[in-house]
Amino acid sequence: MMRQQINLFARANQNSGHIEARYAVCLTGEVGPVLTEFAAFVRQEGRISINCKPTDCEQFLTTGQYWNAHELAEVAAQHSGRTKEEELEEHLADYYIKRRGFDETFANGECFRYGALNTGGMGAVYYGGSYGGYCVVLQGDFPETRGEVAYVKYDSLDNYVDAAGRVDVARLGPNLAADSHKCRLAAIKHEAEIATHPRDAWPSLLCAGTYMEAVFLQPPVRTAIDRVRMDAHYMADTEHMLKTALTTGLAGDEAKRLSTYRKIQLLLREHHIVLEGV
Amino acid sequence: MLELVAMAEEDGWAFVRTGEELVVVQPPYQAWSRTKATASQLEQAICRHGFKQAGEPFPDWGQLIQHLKQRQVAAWQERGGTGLTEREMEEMVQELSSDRLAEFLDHVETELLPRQQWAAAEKLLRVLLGVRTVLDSDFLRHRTLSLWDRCQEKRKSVMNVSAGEVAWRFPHTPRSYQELGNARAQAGSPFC
Repeated sequence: MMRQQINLFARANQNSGHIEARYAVCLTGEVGPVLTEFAAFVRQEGRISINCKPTDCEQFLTTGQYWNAHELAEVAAQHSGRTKEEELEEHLADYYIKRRGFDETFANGECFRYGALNTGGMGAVYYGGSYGGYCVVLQGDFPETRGEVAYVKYDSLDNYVDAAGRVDVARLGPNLAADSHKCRLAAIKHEAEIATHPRDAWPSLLCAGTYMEAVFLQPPVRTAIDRVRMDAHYMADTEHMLKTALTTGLAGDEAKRLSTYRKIQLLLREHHIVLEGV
Repeated sequence: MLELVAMAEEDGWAFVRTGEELVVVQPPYQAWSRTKATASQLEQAICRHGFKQAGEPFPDWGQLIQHLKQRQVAAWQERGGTGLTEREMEEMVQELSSDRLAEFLDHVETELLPRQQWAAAEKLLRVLLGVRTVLDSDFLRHRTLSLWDRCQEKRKSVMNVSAGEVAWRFPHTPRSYQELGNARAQAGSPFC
């Protein structure tokens, strides 16, 4: 018997009253005024960003599309002759059951895309440091359909799903926000730390350690990109590779890195997208 | 023993287990580009960010990194990737900021010239002398030209060994080798 799937976005909407109540309590505390400013800042500056490896960024800019795991599995299946599910299982390996469980819990789960709430900086650095990756920041009016985006206080897969793919909906529910309430959820999340973070540290506060996950349905396309950020040290190191490239020559992997960087530069220029070193 | 746990081969990024610790490594594979990772970050990487589970043992970092580099290049070439042409690289140099161009000049002055890497220094300086930002800046232009002159002077003074001097210093060296030594020295190759 197929279990009933949950509408993530409707659930997020239903949580708005709960968020309002918790936010009101936060405002009565000492940091109330700062939290009000913080919430306003998030409302004003908040964007969805997607952190990419260099090749993924190049692909996104070249094809104009950013595919999720299911779409990539479909494409792989077309070339391999295997089924999409077989491709997905091979790719996800030990995590297949968990990921599938999550996808099947929610209506349109296979169509979900994931990003982070970003108010500046390199966004959600999922692993390692920010070096080497690109942060693709989508425009403020993305997605067009505001009813098809939900924000989660913490990463959904990491915090609300067990190894067997069972979603703890009771715990997830109160930590979901519709687009209209993302700024209040962010304020609730950072109430304890806001006093020790000056305003210029607010962008990194939102993405340091944990981040607020954005789950949305609308496929991000190139025309929805506002800007792309890369780590300033990575940018400097890549430009410095030109010295070696022009004189003694680069090893294969270094040549690839420089070539990919150049391709990304040119694609961004072609599509009038700013590249920022941060 | 190291274990390659997962990798994104097209970019050479990898999760590696070293004993009890899990780390992420990225190009250029220096100590500072290696960071600690958690099991949940590994999960994220595989579930959401295109990493593929691996599970290969390696005896040391050298071999593991070599493997990552080879896989990266192979994946790139399979997709038809090619390196930049000289012209494309020169176009990139044209777009560099003044600060970055000054750093390139620092490299010539503090690295290439002291190491007597004349050909490399000349090549780089020649490229820089074609850059609009350099030509439009008195400071950068003068510095580039000055380094060019220094490069020529140093090259001549170190390499200007006459056949006569070789004969005086190395009396038992046949004449043909004296002249060969001078020719090699002029070309910037070690005399051997």
